[in-house]
Order: sequence, then structure tokens, then C-alpha cells
Amino acid sequence: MSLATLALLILAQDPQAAGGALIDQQISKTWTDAVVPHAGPSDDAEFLRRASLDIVGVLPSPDEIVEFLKDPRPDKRAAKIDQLLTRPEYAHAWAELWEDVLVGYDQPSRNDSNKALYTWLRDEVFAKNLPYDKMVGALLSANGVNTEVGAVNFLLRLTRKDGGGGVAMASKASKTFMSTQIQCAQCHDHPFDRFTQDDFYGMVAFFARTKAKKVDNQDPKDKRLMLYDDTKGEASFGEGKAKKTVAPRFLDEVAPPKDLARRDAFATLMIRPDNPNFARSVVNRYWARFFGRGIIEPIDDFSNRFKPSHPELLDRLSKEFVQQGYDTAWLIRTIANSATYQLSSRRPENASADRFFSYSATRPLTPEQLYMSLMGALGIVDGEGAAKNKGSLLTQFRQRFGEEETADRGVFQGTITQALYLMNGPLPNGEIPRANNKLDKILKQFPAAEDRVDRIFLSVLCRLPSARERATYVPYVKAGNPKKEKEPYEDLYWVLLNSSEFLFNH
Amino acid sequence: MAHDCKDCEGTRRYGLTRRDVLRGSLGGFLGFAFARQTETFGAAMPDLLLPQDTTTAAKAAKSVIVVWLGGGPSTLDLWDPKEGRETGGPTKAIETSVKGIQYADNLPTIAKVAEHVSVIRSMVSREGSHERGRYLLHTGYVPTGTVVHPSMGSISAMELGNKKLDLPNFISLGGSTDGAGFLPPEFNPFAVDAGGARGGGGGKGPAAGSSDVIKISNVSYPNGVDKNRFRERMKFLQEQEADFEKEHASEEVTRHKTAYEKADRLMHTPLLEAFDLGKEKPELVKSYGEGKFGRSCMLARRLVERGVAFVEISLGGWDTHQDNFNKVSSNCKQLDPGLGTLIRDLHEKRMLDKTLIVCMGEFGRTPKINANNGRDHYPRAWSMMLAGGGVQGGRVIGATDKDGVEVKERPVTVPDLFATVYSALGVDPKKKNVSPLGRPIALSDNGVAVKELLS
Repeated sequence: MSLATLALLILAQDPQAAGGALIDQQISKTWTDAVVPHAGPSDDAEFLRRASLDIVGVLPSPDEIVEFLKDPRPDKRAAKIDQLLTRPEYAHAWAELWEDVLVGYDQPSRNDSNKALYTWLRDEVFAKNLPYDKMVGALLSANGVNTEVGAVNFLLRLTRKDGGGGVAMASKASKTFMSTQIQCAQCHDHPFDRFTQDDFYGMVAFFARTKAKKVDNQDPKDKRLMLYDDTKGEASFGEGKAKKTVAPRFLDEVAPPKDLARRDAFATLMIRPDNPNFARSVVNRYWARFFGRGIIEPIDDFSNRFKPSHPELLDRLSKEFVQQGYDTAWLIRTIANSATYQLSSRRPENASADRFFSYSATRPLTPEQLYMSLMGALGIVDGEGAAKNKGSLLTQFRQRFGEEETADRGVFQGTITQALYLMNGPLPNGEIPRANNKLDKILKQFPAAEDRVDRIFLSVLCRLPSARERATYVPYVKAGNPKKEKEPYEDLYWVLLNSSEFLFNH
Repeated sequence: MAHDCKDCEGTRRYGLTRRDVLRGSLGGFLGFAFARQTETFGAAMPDLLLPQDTTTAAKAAKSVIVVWLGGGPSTLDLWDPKEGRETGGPTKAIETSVKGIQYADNLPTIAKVAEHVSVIRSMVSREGSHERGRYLLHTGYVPTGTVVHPSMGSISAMELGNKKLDLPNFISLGGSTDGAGFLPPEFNPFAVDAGGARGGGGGKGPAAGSSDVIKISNVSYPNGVDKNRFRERMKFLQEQEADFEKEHASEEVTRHKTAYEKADRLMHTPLLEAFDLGKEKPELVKSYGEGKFGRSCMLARRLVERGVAFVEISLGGWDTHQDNFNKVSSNCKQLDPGLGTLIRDLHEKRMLDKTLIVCMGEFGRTPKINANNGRDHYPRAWSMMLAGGGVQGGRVIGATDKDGVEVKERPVTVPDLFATVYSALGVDPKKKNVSPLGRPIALSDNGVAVKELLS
């Protein structure tokens, strides 16, 4: 029996388990119950690549990998996780992820509104570790000008000239922050959940006065918009005699606090600790980011049809998250330090996928992760070469490799179009032979073929080559035409960039 | 008034994402694979096989071309004109090549080949939102949220497609479209932008001498790479993949392998010359129309000639809530020559019997003309067109009342339409595929084929 298994068995007895220990206890319990084989722990290179992609959305650099592998400290993984949380890429990656979740793949992807929202998320929320309940509170109740108050842009894009934006706002807020889909109850009582039209319009009513207007009506060049709440406006449905006006009422019928403006009331009701789906939704979302699959799937629909795979784990972890003050950095640290997260992705024979989290899943990269991985592997600096027009390139990636509904995870449909793009498209192929890229620098810095091959593997796959790989590639690069020294190395780059090992997280 | 959840659009995609469905339960996939392998699943249910509903193999069509009119076309101004009635607006009726049948004056070219065309004037449905209507008319099912149904294109690729063909069996010209749903991703559409270098289409400037070649992105080797180098790279890649798969076998890795194999075949197939319209007579190209739609129609014919099972062509701009009559007329300047010439061309090349053409949108439009001289969504009564593929031509099925408000005779539901289409393809509409949740789902949702159209 391995040390790890022994540790897990000991943990399994502890009713007070919390944090990472809670995760490991709850997950490993199901293995023993169902007699499920599980993987061993990941090796250091495996862990480092995965944690970098999940926490900061980029690949670790070759130097970083070499240093980490050499590091003798027993707690080096915990130290690395802490360090990743302080890097600027952390705030950027999670701001971008939440921007996708909040406003979708809006075109153009960097207009003024989205820029302001992204900047607020990056600088005020993630760089400062703003508690999650405060972030959502701001997104729901902020007022002001779109270029000045980033948080207003979540609701701003849902406003309508006829004042009917409340429908979209209530629906989107409910789905995003409570994983509760109410919008089918708009036209009739919900076909497969318990909500009535009254319930739906009770939620809409909180937003019935929320509108947008131009900041300066006189200046056509001034495109700024302001989100505000009118003094009038009601939610109603039905025609003629059957028309019904509904007062603001939250789904679980808790009365809105008096003396609060409607949206402030909604925000208060949404983020209170006894709105259980609020914490569960985000804990589940983060879980899905790190494991490739939520404890409940789909992550934005907690209706009764879909059961959580580990209900006690989700409930207890969510409660702990609330007790920790909705600290998302704590949540990341807790998940990433767990033995469950750090399992290898090498599948034991007869292990089944998904339900048991018994090995780390091989899962697709998000378009942003894929984009950053290609940039990192090829050593492309923002603004140069293929990255000269980053906005449109990233847009293409989202179109080709992304799906808005799972914006914070990736989808690899395995289409011919995707394969052709990677095999023959301008990125990576225009970039592989380009001067002054990473390959160029490797060739200059390392004269020996063996070192060059090592370095290429570190750059692209974030690990050293195996014996078989060394035996295949070193002779190959040595046998090339001396006048075209770079070509066999370009081939190696192409091979590794097109491999499953590169395209997936694992 | 028809149910029209306009505001439901886009805020929910049927509960399960493609990813969820694709990752489904392995059991679902195995169940599906089993059904495919043994084909005994159908035999387990004795009422499945009703020979009189299914076209015999000898007469069955081999390919389908769908002309998709996105936005919901005003069929009262296409197939079911009401000249003289207030709801007819200014649209006039014209005679066609079939005595007693009239189309709207927007379709003179198609009118001349009406003997090959059948129109169903009595389509009925309940889905008046773009997203739901689109889903219904692509899959034959109302969206339910528990499963993503495979589209007509994916079913056709699965049933008719030749696995050995190096071209994809389901090609979409002009953007993405509904795909395989819970069926394996190999039945997803391959999207090609048929935008032309000449005139109407858009797209970049042509390479010298190749303005007639419709470009598939990324199908040629990158600069500096020749065939030998490509092969060497692919050999190494396969070794890397085999290594990785030993301990990381998963759906993702399998899909990667399949995608790369198919991409490799597509890159090297001589059938790519299908995309070179320069091989066609210039007068014929002109008859189809030199804009993107016309070129797409011609390309579709070339693709089915080379064995592609299903091609979807998209012509948008039909959501005419305002200025309906001018917009329809303008759209028909593309639709009419393209579709009309396609039918004639296929007939002249003796391919029409084996190629089923379907022309439709997600619903029709209101007989009542609104304050903006437009028509709004109307699924309650609308028309669509079928031609070729063994479907009897020169017919009209069903009828609306004199104002186009209600179906008066012989209503046809969307499942009925799908049953008709699959029957024409020689495929049993009651045949079932197993969803990832283990539910058997028939190709047609209890529809009954329109026998008057099938011989």
C-alpha cells in the first residue's frame, strides 16, 4: 500500500476534515465504496504544467521547470501554488475568464465597455483578492458610466431601449450566480422546473427600472453610456384584462429588505449566506475549472434533473468557502493543494472517467489557454508577428476552439477545421521558422543537439524527453542538411505542437 | 397568436452543451455503437419496418442539398401567393411550367422548372423563435434540454455517407450549422466559406488565375514544407500519439486522432478539384449567379457529383419585420437563379433523381402586414419546397385559406417532413439511435411521410 493510500485511509476516518483534507476524504471514500482503481500522484513536471495552466493560464517556462524539478523542499508544490497566485498573469487570466462568463464572446472583444469591465476585474477584484460576494454585489448594484465603473458593464449590455432589459438581466444573473435557469418561465410556467411565471416576473421586477442612457446627448462622438435606475417601471405579463403586474420577489420568497433600491435589494438577497446556491454555484464552477468537470453538471443548471456526484463534498466545501469570507484565492489554494487534484493523469487500467475523480482528466484547453500556450511555446511577444493583432487572433481562436457556454473550460470537438488550422495555419506554422523566436534563441544558446532537443521538449511539452524520444530525435536533427540546420528542429516543433499532449491539459 | 418566445432566444442552449453530450456516458456510446454494428436494434421492435413508407433502395436518393433560408422566409411571397387579397400585398402570382400551379413573381426561373418541384403549402409548427425554429427544422425535434438531437445533415452523412470518401460527407457552405448532437463528431459538418472573389461574395482578393477556386482554409502545406517533409512530420506525430495514448486514452485523444487522419486525407485528395469552378462553362456560372449564393449552388452540385452525401447552403436576410416586399424581392434575385439553375442543371446531368433538394426556413411570416410594411414570425401556416430525389415533381401538397392565415387542407408537421425526407433517402424514419442517457431516439419524431410525394 502506498503512503498516499495510507494517508487517504487515515483521513477517511476524520469527521472534522476541512479544506483539502475534506476534498480528499470525500473523493477517496467513493473509491473504496465502489472499488475504483485510482492513479498515483503526479510527477513534478506534470503537476507544474497543470497548475500553471489552471491558475495562471500559461505554460511554465523551461527555466522555471528545471528549477522546480531541482528544488528539494518537501513543500515546494504548496509554495509554487502560492507564488502562482501572486503573479500578474493570475489576475489577467481570471479577469479574462470572468469577462467571458459575464458578457460572452462579445464582438468586438475589446470595446470600451468590455475593457473597463476587464480592467476592474483584473485590478480591483483579482489583484486585490476581493471577496466573491463583494464582486457579485458590485456587478448587480453598480451605477455609473461604463468607461469609469467597470462593474456596470455586466448589466449595461442587457439594457433595452424599451426598458424591457429586466428579463435578460434576471435570467442571466440567476443562471450565472445561482446556476438557476428561470427564463423558460417567461412565457409559461417552466416546462421542467418548479418556477411559475409569477416567480419569473418577481425576479424581473428587481430590474424593471434599470436603464441606460447616453452621457452626453449633444455630442455624437461621445459614445459613453450610463447605467441608472429610473423612478418608474414595473414588471408585468399578460395582455389586456389578464395583464398582471408583479412586485419584486426573490425566488425563495424571502422579502426584499425595505429601504433598499430594487437592485441593491436583489444583490443583498443574492449574496446572503442562506442562499445556498450562490456559494455552491461558484465552488462548483471553480471545481470544474480545475477538474474538467463540475460536481454538478451542467454547471449553470442546478435543477432537479441533474444530481451532484458528491453532494456532501459540495455542501461542506461551499459552507467553508462562506466561512472563509468568499475568498477565491483560498478556494484555489485548497483545491490545488489537495491530493485529489494532484493525482496523475495516467489512467489506471479499468478506471472509469468522470464520476469518481480517480485520476486527473485529460481535458481540452480553453481558447485563451491554447492561445497563451502557443505564444509561450513559440516565444512570441505580444505585438509581434502573429500576435500583432492579438484581439482578432484571439477572436479566431474562440471561434475555432471555444464555445461560449463553457467559456471557462475548453471544448475540443476534433473537427477537421481545427486540425487543418494547427497543421497548416499561420499560427503556429508562420511562427515556427520566424527569426528571433524561441527556437532561434535555443539554437543560439545551446550548441549541442542533445541540449537543443531537451530544451524544445521543455518549451513545448514542459518536460524532458524520454529515452525513446531522445533516441528518435537526436539522430534526426543531427542528420539534417548542414545548410538548413534549423529545419529538422522546426519539424520537431511542429510535431510537438500538433500533439494531443500539447493540446490538452492533463 | 402563435407562441413566440423571442426573449428566450440565446439565453439557454438546451441544458446540455455539446461537450456534456459528447462526454456523455460511455455506456451511451457503446449502446449506439452496438446498435450500429448489429443493426438488430431495429428488429427488436416489430412495428419499425413499414415497407410502404420507405422508398426502396433502388430508387433512393444518394445525396441531399438543403437551401436554408435563415430568418424565416415569407412564403406567401414565394410559394403561396395571395394576389388580390390584402394579405397578398403587392406580390403577383405567375404561371409555372405546370398548368394550374402558380408561384409568386419573385421566382420566375424556378417557375420554369416547376415540373420537377413540389411545394408543401400546409406546413404547421409551434416554434416561432429563431433559435427554436432553427433547431426544429434542422433536427426534426423540438428542443427539449435533455439531449441535443443530430441534424438532418449528420443523419444523412451517417446513413448515406461513404466512409472511404476523402471529402467530408456533410459540408456546410456559408458558416456553421447544426451538427451531430449526440452522434459521434465524425458526422459534424465541415464548414466552407464559398465567398467568391468575383463580385458579390466577399473574401480576400484572388490569387493570380485562381479566382474561380473556392478556398478551403489551411488545406495546403505551410511555406517551406513539401510532401516529404510533411510525411516525415506525420510519422513522428503518430509515434508521439501512440505513446501518449497508452496511458491517456480518452475521447479527446481519439477525436484528435480522427480529426488529423481526416484532415490528412482531405489535404491530399484529388477530389479537391471540386472546388474549382473555373472548370465550368462561363454561361452556366452566370446562370447560377456570380454572387456567393450562386457559386454555392454550383459548388453543391459538384460536391454531390463526387459523392458527398449532404450539402447545406445558407442564404440569409429573410427576417423581414420591415420592408418585407423589397427585401424578399432582392433576396430572390439570388435565390431564384441559383436554385432554379441548380434544379435544371441536375436534371440535365441526369442527377436529379438521386439528389434531393430541400428549400426552407425556420418558419413563415404573418399574412397580416405590419406597420413597417413587414411581416412577422408565423409558424402556424407556411410553405416549403422539395425537388428531385425521387420526390414526385409538379405537385402541390395541402393548401391555406384564401388569406394564408390557416391551413385548410392536409396539414404537414415538421416530423412528417423529416419522415418524408428520410423515406426518400431509403432510410426508415422510425429507426432509432441511442442517446447518451440511454434513450432510443427515432430519426423522425413520430412523423408520417407524405405518401403523395413518394411513389
